[in-house]
Amino acid sequence: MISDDNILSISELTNLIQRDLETNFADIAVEGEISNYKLHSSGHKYFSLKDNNAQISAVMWKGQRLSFVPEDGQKVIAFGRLTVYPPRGSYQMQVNLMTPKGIGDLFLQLEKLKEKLKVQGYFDLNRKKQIPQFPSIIGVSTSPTGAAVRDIITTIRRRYPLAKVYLRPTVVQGNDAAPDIVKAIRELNSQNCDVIIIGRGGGSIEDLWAYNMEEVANAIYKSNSSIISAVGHETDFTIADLVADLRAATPTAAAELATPYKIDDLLNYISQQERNITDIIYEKIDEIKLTLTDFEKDRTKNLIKSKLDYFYQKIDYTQDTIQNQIKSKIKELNYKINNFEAELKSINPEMPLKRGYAMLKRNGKIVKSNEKLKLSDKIEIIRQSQVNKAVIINKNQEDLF
Amino acid sequence: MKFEEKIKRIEEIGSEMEENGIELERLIKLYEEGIKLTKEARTFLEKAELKISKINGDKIKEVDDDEFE
Repeated sequence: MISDDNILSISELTNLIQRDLETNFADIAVEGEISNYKLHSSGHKYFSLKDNNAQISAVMWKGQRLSFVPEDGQKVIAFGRLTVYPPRGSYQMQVNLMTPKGIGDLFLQLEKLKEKLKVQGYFDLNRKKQIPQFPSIIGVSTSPTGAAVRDIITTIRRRYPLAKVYLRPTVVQGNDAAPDIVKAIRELNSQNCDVIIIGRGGGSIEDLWAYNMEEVANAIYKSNSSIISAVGHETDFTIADLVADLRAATPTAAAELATPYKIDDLLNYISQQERNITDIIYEKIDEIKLTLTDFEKDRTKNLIKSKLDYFYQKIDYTQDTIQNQIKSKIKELNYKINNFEAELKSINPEMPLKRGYAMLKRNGKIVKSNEKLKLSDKIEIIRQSQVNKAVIINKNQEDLF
Repeated sequence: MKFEEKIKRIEEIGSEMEENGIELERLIKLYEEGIKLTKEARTFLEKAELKISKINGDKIKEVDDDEFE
């Protein structure tokens, strides 16, 4: 019996449907034919997927990658999930990935291969090789004609003409492509390339398919030379891109990554280094000069000290000499004084008195032999032990002798 | 000496010259070596001309790069 308790509101019913559908059909792949395909100006794509007996609305949001232009009537395989839109009571398939039928099988294989390689560690960042900073030989595996090879060579010449380019013309699409890419990587390895660019210009997903093959993944994985991949364009990631040590969006970008330093930068760097060591040597020489000045100061001090010592010694010596000289002078003087005394003694006027002579004085003064005595002059006659007073009574003079 | 070895050596010379108490004789020797290496490196860069060879199996053949202009 139906009771009031069993009656659902439309919203409740729709919510239940939504929960069931979105849980049970969260990851589906369907095969169908496209109809009513519409690319909205917002970038979202609206269409239906159908077969002879049924159809389902589908949407592909703007950000989802699509490597072909869908057409009505085209058979496709679509990957995605179901969603419910409650306001309209409608459900639709939200498509994440869609490929034309045929390629769709390949996509399934591709996803499986990706998973396998991932588990084996092929994509691990820690096993990726460094790109050499100064490559001597850059290997290039690409088509010998077309924009890719031209872009790569032009870029390397502009940035880093120091390197040699080893070009291995390579088949980049079709059934022969994968084995030839493998051979190219091997040959470039045996030429000791420092880095290898494997690449091609953009194309459809089918065109790039060789770069999704396991043998190519293995060759890249085993390469001793670093590998930069440049397959397709920004949005097309191949397995080669994932295994390679570095992935470039375009062949030009790959050539830039293979030449980390530009020749102009290197020239600048060398000039800078040259300036650096020149600055250092000037600085150091100044330092050494300073040290020398200190040393010189010390030396001068020592020099002065030794000079002083010499002078002191000289002074001491001179002092001795002077003292000796003074002593001998004094001696000499003493001697002279003694002599002089003797001489003086000999000329003492009283000496003749001792020998018996007399001396005359007038008015207290000695009368010298050439002075004349006049009549009545009063004189003293001085002898050694007697003084007599006398008067001149006869002034006549006679020569004594 | 390879180009990158020269660059590395030039860098080493710079660091050793900056060491404290380096002897004048050693300093001058390093400076001369450094200047010689920078000159060589510069000449090497200025003379550089891209050479392109084609690989075919184990054969290498230098090619004129006009075809890639």
